[in-house]
Amino acid sequence: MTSTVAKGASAPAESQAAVPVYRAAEESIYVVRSTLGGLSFGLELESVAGIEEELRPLPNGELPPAIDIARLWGVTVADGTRRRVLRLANQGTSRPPADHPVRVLVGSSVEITAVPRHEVSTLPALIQPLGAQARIRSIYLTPRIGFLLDPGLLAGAAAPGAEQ
Amino acid sequence: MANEDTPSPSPATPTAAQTEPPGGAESSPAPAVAGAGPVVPLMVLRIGQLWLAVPVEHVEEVAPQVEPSPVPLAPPHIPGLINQRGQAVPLLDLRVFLGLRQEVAEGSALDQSFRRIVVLSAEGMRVGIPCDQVRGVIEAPSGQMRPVEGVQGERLREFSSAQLGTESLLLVLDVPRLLLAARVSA
Repeated sequence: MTSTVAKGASAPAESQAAVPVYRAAEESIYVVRSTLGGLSFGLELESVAGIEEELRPLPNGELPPAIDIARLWGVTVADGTRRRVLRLANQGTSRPPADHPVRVLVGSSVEITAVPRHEVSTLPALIQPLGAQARIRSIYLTPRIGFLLDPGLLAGAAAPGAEQ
Repeated sequence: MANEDTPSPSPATPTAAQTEPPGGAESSPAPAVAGAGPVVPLMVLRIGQLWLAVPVEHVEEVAPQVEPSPVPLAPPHIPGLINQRGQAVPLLDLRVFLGLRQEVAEGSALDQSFRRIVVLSAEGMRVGIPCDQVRGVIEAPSGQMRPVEGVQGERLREFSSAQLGTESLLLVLDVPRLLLAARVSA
């Protein structure tokens, strides 16, 4: 977009200095994003302790418990698809012990992107109850609409005796 | 509210009284009927072959159609979210929610460029209604609203009243009631 300035007019120097060139880092959050069945979703980076290539068996040969987002949301995933795993950071006394971290099974690829804070919002009122059911905390709008998972709700779902 | 600049296409083939556009194919704002009470501005839109109206007081914007982002665990009448001026707005598919019959819901083969999303607000909620055409705004006498009888769609009668002041029957949606009913329950 171009702007025009009337002949003889000049912009004051202080107004040019006030124009922000880029947003400060604290105005963005970093999201570990993935996709499943056309749905974009992610976790805030500070909630993630690690990213694993796939769900690997424990020393006893059994697969560790993990919350499968595809199963939780009813998304079909092709057989043989390698799924990445996000290991959640320990988030308080109500979480499982540190030697049993909460693992979240996501899509086949993961990337970390910055999302401006002003583009993160709560779920619209029409669908607000879906947040608890789908373990969603909020929505981000860029680079496309996606859903920020709630690590607390995920950890609650992973607690012993909880229904996944 | 944005102005609607949709050109007037040929009217869809009517299959019932409420599939007629108000005022005929080249409709202009209908004159108020003397003694019929205050005039209510209504936005006229088409879904499939069904012409509906919504009170303008609930219309925030008419936007071009965009592909929605799906929402996990959402019911079938909420096909997704759109980014509308920096806010996430859920879409409400009235074909599904009102249970429109297949032959009515499919509509005619008009140019897809007529398709729009009408953003409505009521009861603290905003939704986008995908529709096949937005006709414009008419002024209708509120005193001629009548309960709906014998209309298509299992639930259409529940959320609309009939406006008889124009040359043909027009179903007027009760937007607050519609949105409260469409809201996802806990």
